[in-house]
Amino acid sequence: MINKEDKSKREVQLEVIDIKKYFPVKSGFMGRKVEYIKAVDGVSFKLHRGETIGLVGESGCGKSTLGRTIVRLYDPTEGKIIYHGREIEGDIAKLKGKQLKALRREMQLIFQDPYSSLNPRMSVSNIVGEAMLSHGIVKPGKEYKNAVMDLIETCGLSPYHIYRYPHQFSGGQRQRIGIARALALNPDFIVADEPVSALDVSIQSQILNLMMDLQEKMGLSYLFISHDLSVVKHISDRIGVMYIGSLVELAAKDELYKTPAHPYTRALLDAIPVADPTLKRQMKPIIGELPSNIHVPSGCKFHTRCPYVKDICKQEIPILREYDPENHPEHFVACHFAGEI
Amino acid sequence: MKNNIKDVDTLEVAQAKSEIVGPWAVAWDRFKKNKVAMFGAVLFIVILILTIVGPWLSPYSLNQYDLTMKKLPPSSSHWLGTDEQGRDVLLRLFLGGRTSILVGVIAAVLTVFIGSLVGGIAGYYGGRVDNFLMRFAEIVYSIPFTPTVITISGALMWVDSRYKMYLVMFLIGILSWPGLARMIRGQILSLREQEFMQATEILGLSTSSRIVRHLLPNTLAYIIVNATLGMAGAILTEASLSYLGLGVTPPTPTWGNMIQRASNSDVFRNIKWLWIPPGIMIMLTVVSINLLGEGLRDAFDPKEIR
Repeated sequence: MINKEDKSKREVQLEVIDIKKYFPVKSGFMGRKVEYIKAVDGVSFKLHRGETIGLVGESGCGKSTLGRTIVRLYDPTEGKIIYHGREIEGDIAKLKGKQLKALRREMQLIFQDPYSSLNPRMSVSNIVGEAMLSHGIVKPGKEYKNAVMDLIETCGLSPYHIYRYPHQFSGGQRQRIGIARALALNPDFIVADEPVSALDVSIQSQILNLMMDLQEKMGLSYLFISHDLSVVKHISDRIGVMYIGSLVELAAKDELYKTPAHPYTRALLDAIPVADPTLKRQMKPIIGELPSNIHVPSGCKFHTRCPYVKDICKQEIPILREYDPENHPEHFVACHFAGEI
Repeated sequence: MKNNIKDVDTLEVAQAKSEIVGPWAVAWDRFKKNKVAMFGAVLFIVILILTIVGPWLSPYSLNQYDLTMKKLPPSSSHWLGTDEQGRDVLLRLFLGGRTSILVGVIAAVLTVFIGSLVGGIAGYYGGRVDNFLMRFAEIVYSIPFTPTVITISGALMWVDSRYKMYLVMFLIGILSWPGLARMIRGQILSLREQEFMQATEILGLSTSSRIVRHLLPNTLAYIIVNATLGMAGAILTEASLSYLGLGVTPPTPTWGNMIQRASNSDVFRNIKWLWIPPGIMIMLTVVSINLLGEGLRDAFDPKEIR
């Protein structure tokens, strides 16, 4: 099925198997009735070393929760996260204490909001270097200062910036500090949770380029979360599309943009504005509202809004599968009629 | 060439260090520019120095009764006159200020200590701990202040006048922390959701460093502002309690029990120097502390700091 050579070349670094993250919400009289927000509802995929997977979806579809669950900011409700790292090997879904702290040196998170993600009362050198000291990577004093200066320079700021405080920087510079902090522990895998969506368009590309440079220099893998399709297209090797907590399509970047197989992906791609006012767009907007992620629709979650809906869609949950290994290798879709519609 | 670069580097570093504007420096800068707040701060410091240094400079002593010199109006030997027992009013005013301000400070410190401890623990640990502590705080909050203090003071009539002061501090402290506790809890809850607190978790920092280095410095501004404003409140409370005879009782002077002399109609009409000075002092002190506190609040405004 998959090209054997390709497979051996590409070493799997992270494998997520049927991961779920439910948040309990109390409702009804005196909070007696407990319901669950199914933020992430059974997601599986593999990430290869040095690769960038872009994750797109509407707000509230669970992409941030998925990213934060993988880096173990949240404890997964169910499922496995197999990680092949330097010190950590195997399922990290239930790590605790010391081992969890060791995991922090292998994977890190870049935050969305460059304003709330930096402690306003700490200098840049403390923000970036605190973790190095806490993990015993460098000794306090000159070594520490030099390490922080190096790192901040790598991220495109001047070494002397380490004496300043966050409020003295612009949004883009702050995001560089956030990236430097994530790199402080020398991780191999980074989840970037909408790192550029709070920035001006002109700054966005600078940060994206910085991230790509760093990837090359340090051999990083990214899980890049965004709702901006053009940003994801710029940085990703493969792109995953999420809808109400599930991955509905996962394919190489060009493959996905050229031949989207899931009706939801098509609708998303159709919605990208075209910079040509004379061009009449053949857009079929998605009808209806986003269903609740507490009472998830039966069968295919997209059936309430899908233009091609059939009976089977309402009953059977489509699994994420390679729908046409011959013509579209490694193109995974969760749709009963992939390739037919 | 290499040397050159190094020189530039050190030059830049030196320049950068001179440019450091930490959050405290920003706050101080803003506070300095606030003339009203600076006036409050200066006034309060003057009052503080007067009450501390004043008694040492006075030729009289606290319990120097001289019935031949009683009810003397202000003169060059007794600047604020004497009372019915012939004691120097100015000296009593200074000493009363010591007591009043001390009660205010200690009561405020006690309030802040209990309030931030309870609020901090409730906010940080959340869940059941939070629920328990906050319900407890609400119970304390719902205790009516004056009747409780009247009852307790009444029950503890036998306490010596010298220790009454500590009783008042303690009562004010343990009855007024819930408001602050609630505020600190809210503060911690909102801080916990900030991304930089999630960052401390993802960086694997220890609980102690998360609390001491990240949470506390971000609530400190609130705590300081509240301690300041709480101090003004405590001074007023002490004054009213002493006026009612439930606080610090004579012969220990406080501004509150000095004003109380005015309840005597003879004193009220004819010996005005007995009660007007302490009244003015209370007003000046409370106004100066409030101006100072408001100024601190504006200076620390976190919305502009980030």
